[in-house]
Amino acid sequence: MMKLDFDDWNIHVGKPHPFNERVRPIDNGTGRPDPARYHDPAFMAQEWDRVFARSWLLAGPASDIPEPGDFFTFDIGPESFVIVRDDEGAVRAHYNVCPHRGSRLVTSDFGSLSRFTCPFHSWKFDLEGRNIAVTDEETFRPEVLCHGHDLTSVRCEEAVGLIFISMDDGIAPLREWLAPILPQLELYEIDQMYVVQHRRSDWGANWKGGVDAFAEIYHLHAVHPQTQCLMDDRTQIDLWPGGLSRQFVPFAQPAARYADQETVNPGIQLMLRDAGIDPATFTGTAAQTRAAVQQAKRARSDALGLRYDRFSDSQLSDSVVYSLFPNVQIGCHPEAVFLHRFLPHATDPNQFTYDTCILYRHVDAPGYSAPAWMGLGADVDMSGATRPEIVHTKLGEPPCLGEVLDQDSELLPVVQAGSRSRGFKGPLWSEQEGRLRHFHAELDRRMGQGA
Amino acid sequence: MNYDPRSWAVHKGSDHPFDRPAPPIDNGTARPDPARYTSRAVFEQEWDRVFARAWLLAAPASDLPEPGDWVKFDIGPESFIVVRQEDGSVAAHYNVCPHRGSRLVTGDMGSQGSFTCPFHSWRFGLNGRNQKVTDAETFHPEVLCHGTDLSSVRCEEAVGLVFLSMDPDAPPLADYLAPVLPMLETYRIDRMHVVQHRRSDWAANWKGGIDAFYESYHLHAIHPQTMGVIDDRTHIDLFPGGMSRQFVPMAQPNSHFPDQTGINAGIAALMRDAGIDPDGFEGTAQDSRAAVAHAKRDRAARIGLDYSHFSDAQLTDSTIFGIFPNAQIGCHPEAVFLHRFKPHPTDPEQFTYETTILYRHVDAPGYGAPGWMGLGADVDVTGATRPDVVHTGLGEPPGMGEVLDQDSDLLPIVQAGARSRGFRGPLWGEQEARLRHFHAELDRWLARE
Repeated sequence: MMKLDFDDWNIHVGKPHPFNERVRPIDNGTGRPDPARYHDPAFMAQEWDRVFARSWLLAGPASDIPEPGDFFTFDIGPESFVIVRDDEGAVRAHYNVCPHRGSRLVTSDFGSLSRFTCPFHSWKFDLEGRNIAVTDEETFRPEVLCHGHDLTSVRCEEAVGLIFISMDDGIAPLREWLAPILPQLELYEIDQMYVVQHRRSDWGANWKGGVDAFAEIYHLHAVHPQTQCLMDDRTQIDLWPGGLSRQFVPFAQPAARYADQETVNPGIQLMLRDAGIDPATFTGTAAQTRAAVQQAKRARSDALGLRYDRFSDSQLSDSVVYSLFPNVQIGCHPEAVFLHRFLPHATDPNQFTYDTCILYRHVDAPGYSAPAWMGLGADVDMSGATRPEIVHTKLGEPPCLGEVLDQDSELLPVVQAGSRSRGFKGPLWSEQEGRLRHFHAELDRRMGQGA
Repeated sequence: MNYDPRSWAVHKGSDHPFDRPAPPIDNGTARPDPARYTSRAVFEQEWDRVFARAWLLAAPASDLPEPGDWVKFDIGPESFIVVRQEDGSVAAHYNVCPHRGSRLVTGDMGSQGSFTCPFHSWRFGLNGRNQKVTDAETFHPEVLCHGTDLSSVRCEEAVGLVFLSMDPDAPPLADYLAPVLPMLETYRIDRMHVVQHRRSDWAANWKGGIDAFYESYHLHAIHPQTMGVIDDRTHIDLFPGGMSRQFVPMAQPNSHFPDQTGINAGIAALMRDAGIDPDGFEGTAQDSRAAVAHAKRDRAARIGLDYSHFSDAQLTDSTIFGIFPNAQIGCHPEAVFLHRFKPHPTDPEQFTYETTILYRHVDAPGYGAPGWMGLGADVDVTGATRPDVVHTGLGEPPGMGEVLDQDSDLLPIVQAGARSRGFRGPLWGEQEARLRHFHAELDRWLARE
């Protein structure tokens, strides 16, 4: 029996809510793309020029630079950018490159300063990127400095508490591009969240291998069997123009493939406890636990004034995952969001850096906390007062990102190897992988938009 | 404005011919495309049009005193054997067996009467002639007729240094070096011996190394610890053929150093090296450089060293020569530093930095290598023992001393900028005139078919 859309997978067990409505389908066809896109250096170079250099790229959360002079660096592909809040409170982004000889201006992940001083010859720049000192300026012929000695800036805009940059001066405004999903993302009030965990890990695969693996849950039963008792792979997928998409991943109920659909297993018990339900007194079966979690969270919101009426029931229990073209996914929960970025390597199509950041909404109230499955240890400062360091693991090191992500990091090089085989003619995507096909279709459109 | 760094009073009232400025060369104000630091196409063309045609500094002659002594010289994708022949002349051969292409030698240096290939034991004389084809009777004569000798390249000596060229039509070495040859001769490098030899792989294009070592503009920022004792007020001379020299005044403070008069600890150490007791010195830091020059001249007279051909600046300063394409020689009466920036075999974003200290040993009381040269007490300064080459790989701390380690930390972050679409090319000031001169010469060579 064919199952080419998910209308009869009625994943929404709670009350009907406009958020859950499916959008008009987009047909991306049935083509099988050439797997060269995963390993060809020429494809990678063109991808950089035609896609990355012309897109909005998620640089970081605005909560990382609250005060004037606060900056963070954003490294992607061959580039490094410095994102800084200026004296007027506006956010600016500059290539992290001194115009004199090309040195990096800053080498740390974060910091706070009133001006940039190049480490090489101490040229100085204000937060807006204007040159304020050429050391020994009298030893430069004016024609040399006339080439321009300010920092080169790029477009930089904020939406939903996140900062995006674009190397394309002529790109449409950020909010225009994000329009189809902007009202949905706004519900999560990411601007009131803080980074509580930030990890970076180098993986032996193309960045699109990362996008592909994170944009479908078809592989859960095979790669992450331990999740089958509490994460369902019956799903809802919505696609929007511009390569944007979302997917519901139902939590607190077993996957269809899971043998025992009745018992409230220890995984589900944990999720009940997170929502304030005592599993010992819970009388229903695993078919009722997801709804119970939704109701308990709604009751807790009423008690604490969390205004969860803006969320549908599914939003309370599930992971609602958004894809932002080209290289970002955001996993959304009322308590926290996960920013996943798939950063291409500077030169090697067979490597990328996976960057994952958890932003948490702190509420100082009894019974409210981050769900246990998020894996935030007891040593994590949940208040937002301390910005945790970025932990970076290199290629070949175990990423230590938790069991599920470590499984992905082991798998991806194996898939990457297959893409290089002359025995592999290209991926065969099902409708459970509709977001992958949608992403690649957009990539192809952008690649086709000449040089 | 001070576009002409020759107007800095580096040579206070000197009328010594060595200090005379060279006629100016105008290399313009253009901003070159930074692709030269990253592009594979430029990298390959550089090899074919520059390295394969230029004279390359291969080794100090003192490493090859006797017939049979050889040094292996690796650069880019090539390896050469530089060897002293029976008649006392030097020769250089590709370190490649004509049979199957194996390297003939794998050590850094040695001494032997002939070369035997490790693969099938073919043997060659010091002049590269084949002496033995193992089981020659199993080869069709037509096969051996293709040639069984080593391929040799041009190899010549000047100022105690051995150079080679892959171009059979290269001009004589003495013509190539002509603009700087008489100046280099004053240092008598032929009487010096290697006392330290280090090699380190760095994550940058080889020209990033040249650029960093060709200017003292960055001293205040990258090497602030030198500001008390090394001045960045400099004297730069440019010569045809991409050659250049620069005086880096020592024993006086940098223009950016706040205290221009006090005898700081660094200057005191340089005075002690010259035999002056800083505690008894009555002058200021404006007088210490001249005092060091006078003390060295007095010491030379006392122990019978002829310093008459040296100007005062040569006695105190680092006098640095840029030898196109990839060598720089820092000269002092006591020692010279050979710096070589060797392109990687395949990757434009890596190079090997090689530095050799050659020392003039004089067995006399009060004479020694200046302390700042960093030669440890375990170093045999007599020249009797040739130290091993110490090689550190990419990512390893080179352990070359504070200043060079600071450069090795810096170069990769400059290289990274060359790849950025936000960087349009370097803006060179006149303090960086030697860089512009080097790149102008490079462009001329690259433009030749």
